[in-house]
Amino acid sequence: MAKILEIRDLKLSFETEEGTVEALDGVYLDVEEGHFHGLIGETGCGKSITGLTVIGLLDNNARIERGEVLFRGKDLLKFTERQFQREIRGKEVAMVFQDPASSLDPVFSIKDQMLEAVRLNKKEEKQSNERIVKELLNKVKLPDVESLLEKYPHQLSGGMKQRVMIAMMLGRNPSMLIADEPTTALDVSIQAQFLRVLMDLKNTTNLTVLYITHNLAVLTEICDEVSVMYAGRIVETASIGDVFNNPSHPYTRKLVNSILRADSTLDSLEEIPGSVPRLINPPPGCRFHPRCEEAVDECSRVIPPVKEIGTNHLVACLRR
Amino acid sequence: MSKEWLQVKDLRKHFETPKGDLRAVAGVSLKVEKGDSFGLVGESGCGKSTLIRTVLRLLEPTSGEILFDGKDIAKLGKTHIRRLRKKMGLVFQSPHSSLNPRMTVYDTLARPLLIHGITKNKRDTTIEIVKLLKLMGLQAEHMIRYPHELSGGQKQRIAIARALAVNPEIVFLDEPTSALDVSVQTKILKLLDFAKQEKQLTYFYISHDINLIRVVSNKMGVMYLGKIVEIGDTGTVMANPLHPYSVGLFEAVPDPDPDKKLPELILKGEVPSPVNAPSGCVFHPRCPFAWEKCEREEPKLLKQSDQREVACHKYS
Ligand SMILES: Nc1ncnc2c1ncn2[C@@H]1O[C@H](COP(=O)(O)OP(=O)(O)O)[C@@H](O)[C@H]1O
Ligand SMILES: Nc1ncnc2c1ncn2[C@@H]1O[C@H](COP(=O)(O)OP(=O)(O)O)[C@@H](O)[C@H]1O
Ligand code: SF4
Ligand SMILES: [Mg+2]
Ligand SMILES: [Mg+2]
Repeated sequence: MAKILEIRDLKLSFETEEGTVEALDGVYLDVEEGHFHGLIGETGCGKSITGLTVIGLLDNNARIERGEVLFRGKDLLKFTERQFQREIRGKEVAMVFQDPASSLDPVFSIKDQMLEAVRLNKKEEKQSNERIVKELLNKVKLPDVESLLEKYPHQLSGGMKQRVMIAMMLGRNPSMLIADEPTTALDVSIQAQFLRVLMDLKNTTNLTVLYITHNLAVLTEICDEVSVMYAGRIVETASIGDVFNNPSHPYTRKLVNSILRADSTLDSLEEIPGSVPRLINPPPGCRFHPRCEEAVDECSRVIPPVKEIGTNHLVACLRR
Repeated sequence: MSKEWLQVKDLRKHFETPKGDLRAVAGVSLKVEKGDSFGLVGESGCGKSTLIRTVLRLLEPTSGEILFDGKDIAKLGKTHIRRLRKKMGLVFQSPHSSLNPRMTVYDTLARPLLIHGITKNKRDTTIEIVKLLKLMGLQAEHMIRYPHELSGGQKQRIAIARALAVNPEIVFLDEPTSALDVSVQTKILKLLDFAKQEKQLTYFYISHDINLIRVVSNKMGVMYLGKIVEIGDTGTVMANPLHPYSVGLFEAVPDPDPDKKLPELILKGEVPSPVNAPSGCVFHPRCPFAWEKCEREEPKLLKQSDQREVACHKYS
């Protein structure tokens, strides 16, 4: 199996008035081509930043301190903005965000924006482009395509906009999609429809997806592997089955046992004491140690290295 | 204690909008008994927040009755409404916007205590505030903090403490953990449960999270486009939902079990606008069972057993 994305020891910080935000601190993340890889973690742990690094859209105050972000073997950290535009964004890698409205242009109809996305730059092919657009919209199971094409973004619901975004993305035929909390603002019934569309793509194409979310339940529906992120580091990576049935890192264990599920009771739910740390002066050593029940002295001094504890099961914890 | 302690009868709340009459709450009837933890689920925009804001008289009801402790509070005047505020508490979804950033925790909690005359001097106020903080798992030293010095979970605990300060009889909780991270959600739910036992409270939870309602409530209602479509004992409704909307909604909840894959989609399409809502059964355009009667006639909420009522022609 080929790895399409390999992030190695990525350290990234932001300069702010309050101090240096140590947003990513030694992130390792491997994504297999054709797989759906989940990236889960609580707000502010660095999920979006990780995605934005891959498409070269970091804020100006970001500083990359070390590491590599290899896409098909090429280090994206060495890319210029021009290279990102020409080789990566929208071509190799597309990113879909939580708020689809922000990526759709309010003053153009869906048809214009879709045509733009699949543009083959030749006038005589206009007809076939329209056909492609309709096919794409059908692919994401949007009903009533004819009338949809004439509409403007504000006339669509959040769920429909999100599917238009996926259709546009497909029009550019990228190898990889980074979906950043695409269903967080949607209702469960609309979310289920959206996940359905992704599952279809999974079964019919070789698309790679990095699915970012704070909702572990969503990942179990579609992902092959999951990486768990905490305060700027990946603490565990494993198959979805292992993360769920055989979690190893103390944080993952707590996280899995704090999700509300069909058989949860108040007593069965675990709480994690304290709260997510700020990333200006984060805890030394293992960033989870102040909240960890298994922590020993060493945990506040030594940064846990990533260890392989089983087949494709990686954990960064000193007690494992 | 009368069983019909809080009873809402055919309550309506319509908004005038440029597009027409928006029926946010379109004839809701429900009962909450003292000591219940009632949970209301439904997708966004179905009218949950409007319903409780109307019950709390933060919004003027368009029509209907709200019986509380034997009185129809739908018709109360301003001075009486103020007294009602002492009996009914409200906690919003976002602690970030509901706490005043310029007020310390002490001031935030002292205000309701003083306004409602629960404490009369600084010493009593401080004692009461320490008690409230303890109830919410916080320490006395949190008194001097400002909201920006607190985590999201701590802020929400202050918002809950503020609602509990006046010793209300019932507390309405509008998505109390939706804006928080999962790792702190459990803590809030457990503290709320503890406070409920401690102060013998009645809760009215609203959430779009079905599994949350499953965990925290003993009675529940499922709302769709301004109406209750199914209501009853949480265990009964969850184990075996009857209304086609409840079935589809529960089915759509992602199951955190990697061995179970995506279920068949039952809920197709999207919720229509509450302006010009569909005729008959408001769910009929999305219902896999709908027949001609459903388009024509509105189904009434009918008793199926002692444990539940359903509004669907399939069950009438
Ligand atoms: N431009 C920026 N300047 C300063 N801090 C930032 C900036 N962008 C992100 N951060 C910080 O980096 C951390 C990671 O952010 P993000 O990747 O957006 O988190 P997530 O997507 O997991 O919620 C957060 O603590 C956030 O506040
Ligand atoms: N002040 C208002 N004016 C006009 N429409 C409103 C107002 N408040 C709520 N609505 C509408 O009423 C419906 C129900 O809203 P709401 O009670 O907030 O739903 P929920 O809490 O279930 O998400 C929605 O269609 C919403 O847009
Ligand atoms: S390294 Fe130590 S503190 Fe970190 S998770 Fe493992 S046991 Fe807990
Ligand atoms: Mg994010
Ligand atoms: Mg609401």
